[in-house]
Amino acid sequence: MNKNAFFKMCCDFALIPILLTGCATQPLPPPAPNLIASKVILLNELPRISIYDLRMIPINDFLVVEAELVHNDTFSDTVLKSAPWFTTLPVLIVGATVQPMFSSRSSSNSIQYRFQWRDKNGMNVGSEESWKVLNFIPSQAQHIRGVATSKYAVDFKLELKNNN
Amino acid sequence: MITNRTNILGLAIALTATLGVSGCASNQPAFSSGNVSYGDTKAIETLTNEIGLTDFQMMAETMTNSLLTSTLIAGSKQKPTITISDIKNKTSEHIDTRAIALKIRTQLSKSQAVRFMGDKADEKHALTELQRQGQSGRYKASKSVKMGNAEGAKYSLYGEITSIVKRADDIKNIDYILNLTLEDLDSSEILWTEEKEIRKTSERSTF
Repeated sequence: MNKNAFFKMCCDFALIPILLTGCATQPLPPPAPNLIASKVILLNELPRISIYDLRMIPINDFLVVEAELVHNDTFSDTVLKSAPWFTTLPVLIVGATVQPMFSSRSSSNSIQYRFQWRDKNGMNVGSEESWKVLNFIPSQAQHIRGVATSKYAVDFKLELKNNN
Repeated sequence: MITNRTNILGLAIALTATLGVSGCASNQPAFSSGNVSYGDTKAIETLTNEIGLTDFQMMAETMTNSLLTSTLIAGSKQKPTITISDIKNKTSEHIDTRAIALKIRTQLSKSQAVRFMGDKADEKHALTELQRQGQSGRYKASKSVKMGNAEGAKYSLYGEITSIVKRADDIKNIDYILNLTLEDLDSSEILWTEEKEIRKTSERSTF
């Protein structure tokens, strides 16, 4: 597959959540493959939860991260299985688009999460965060927010695990 | 005959080895009863529906994160000076609210965005030490701390924790609400306020 075809495919995928949700009105930023995957530590299978959006900005010199997690009940299995990105691209983030990291059919709609904060050398900074529970109802989108309590934090990792 | 000798010799060696091993084992101190283990204090603990360390941690994190991203920090040329006044416990449970306050103070102090001045509890220790240095006669006057040099905090952090308990059949629901306020002690203006709600539901087992 040449680069143009790949870019077109990425753009096509970016349209999928827009068409499905109808929420995004602004043009999406250019594709950044594997961006979310590089920020997420998945400790076990998640119950049909995917990350749609992950943003990072400094507020008062403290790094603030906000993520939008969505319960994927709206996606039928047919859509999931037929979607090319589901099988061919393990992780794809195009601005604010789907990251198909879910793989479980667990009936649980509850996950745990926490942030790790890293300094410029990749070392952990700040106190270790406690795990927090996030409960979903089917198709629900939830925002989580993390704030680095150290001004030396320049990067982060989002740890996710099933609540079971 | 040879076989018997071999058997006796083998038995003797096995007996000696067993005694040796058991002798060594008996000299080793027992470091574990097998019933105690260390746990992850950051893991979510839901042993009972009463307030616990996980709740304290969530409360402290929410409050710290909110304060660090507030306009109070953004608009301050100098680090704001804060003292913790009191977190009232308005629940029916015994809750060490100072432990919550200290968790928040620790996290905020580590952020280096604010300065904390001693609260009432800290002042007791400070006064005791001041008296010891000033009155024992052991310390040089020029090298001991003096009364009257302490800096007062500009802001006071206080709040309360309340709970709502509901029961229906075997289900018990407790809602905890921690509300904190930061007040400018000069102007009495409320500059920041935040609340954290935690819902804990438990179901009594029928077995």
